[in-house]
Amino acid sequence: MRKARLFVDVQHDDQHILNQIRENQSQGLQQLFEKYYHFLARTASYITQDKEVAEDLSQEVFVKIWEGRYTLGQVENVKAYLTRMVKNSALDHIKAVRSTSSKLAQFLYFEDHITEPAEPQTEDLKREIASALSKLPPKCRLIFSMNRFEGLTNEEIASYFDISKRTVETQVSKALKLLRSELKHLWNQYLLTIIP
Amino acid sequence: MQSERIYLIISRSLSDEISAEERQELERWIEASSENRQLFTELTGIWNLSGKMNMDLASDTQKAWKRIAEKTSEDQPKHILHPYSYLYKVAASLLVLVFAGTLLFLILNRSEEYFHENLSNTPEHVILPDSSEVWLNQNASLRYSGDFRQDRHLRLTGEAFFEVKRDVSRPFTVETNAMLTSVLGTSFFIKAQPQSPQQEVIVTTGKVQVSTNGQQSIILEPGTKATYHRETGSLLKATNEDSNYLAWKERKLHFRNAPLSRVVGSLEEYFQVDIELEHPGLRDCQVTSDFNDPSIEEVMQVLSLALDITYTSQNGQYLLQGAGCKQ
Repeated sequence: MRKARLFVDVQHDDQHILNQIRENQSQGLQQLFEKYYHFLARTASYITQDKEVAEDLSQEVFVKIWEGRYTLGQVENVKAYLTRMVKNSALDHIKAVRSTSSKLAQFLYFEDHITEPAEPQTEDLKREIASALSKLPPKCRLIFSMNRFEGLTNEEIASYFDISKRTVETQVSKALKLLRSELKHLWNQYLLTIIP
Repeated sequence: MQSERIYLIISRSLSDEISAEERQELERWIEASSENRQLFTELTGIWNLSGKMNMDLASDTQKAWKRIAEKTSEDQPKHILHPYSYLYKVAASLLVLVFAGTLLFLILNRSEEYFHENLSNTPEHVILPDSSEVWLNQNASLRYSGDFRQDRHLRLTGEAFFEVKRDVSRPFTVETNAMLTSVLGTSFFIKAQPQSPQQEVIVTTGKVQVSTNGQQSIILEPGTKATYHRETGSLLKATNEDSNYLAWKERKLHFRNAPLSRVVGSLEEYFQVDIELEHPGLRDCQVTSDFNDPSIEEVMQVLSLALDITYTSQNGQYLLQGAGCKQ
């Protein structure tokens, strides 16, 4: 009950912010930014695995919202709407990197990310997991990360990306399967240390 | 098929979104064999471990907002002009002029070659069209074509430090007469006197690819360097031990337990002087000292006090005299 009430409040708040933006009041955009920028940047980073690029893409989302403020239609769930925007541009981004004519750019981009996962983690285990995560297919990594790191339910993830709950669940289980095979060596090591 | 269903049920269980029937099914499956139990334990372990990852970006929100504000402020509410008013006409004709001027400027500037040569004795700071930055040491020169739209390609002779703006769609490449250095966005130093027996690339941040015409190619990480030897045509990777490769730009020298022979090398380069050691025993004397925008006299005095040696100078030639250091 309480949760539902809160949800309505959030929605109401967001609608108010959007209306401000529609009326050309830039403080609306700033409120939207303060509320969702970090979430969007993290979401984008699950796909791009590049903090700088993720931030650029998230900033672009707010610029686009502002540029389209006079023609912005009804948006039921603002957070979901923004999340979809940033997801699409992040997927476009990695597609562009993949299809770039320059083999060199591709090489440097992926070389960069496979050997240096996210932040340099001191502990080996974390590094192993980060590296295994970085090898997941982008959409699979996105959905797994939204579940694991953003604390969203599969239902919520489904509504954000406009896909079925079943698809979300399939992606999460696919991630688990891939992570397990990627981390197999580690698991054996770990087992060896706890079983005499 | 069986396996896919069980993965689905396990992931539902881990997400805390499992139904009562599925829970029973899962429990029966776990009890069925020790392999099943093992798989369940592994997946639970991976789930819990991945939950401990720190995925925070720790980003600079203020900077991010500033960038958005800049991009969205160009079309702030405009004053409405009465059509055909005098002011409107003036504004319109000015606009036409500005437009024509811009067009002319764009046409004239398209793909124009740019050339910078630093003939002064202080580093020259150059900002490139993509807002990457370059510091040219004295006598270094840089050539590039004005529009970076396709690729970011430059030609360098001499020494320069680069801070490259990250752009994954356009690699940034620096060509010298012997090496090609390619990056997406990093900072690095290149030393490439065309006639010198070796050329170097030293990486400060990020990853850099260095290759030669002879098809050799290596990847450098921060703290490493590539050295090209002209005589053998070889390209070798090593740890960078020279803490003063940016001294010319920073106006600072640091030495930590550095042998005097290396110190002398750094000083010769920094001050453009010749320094001789009278006794070979001096070569291994250890020096630890920091200098901030020093003069050569200052450094010589510190060295002579610290190592108990004397020095004489004549026409920019310095001679260090002393017995050497005990090991």
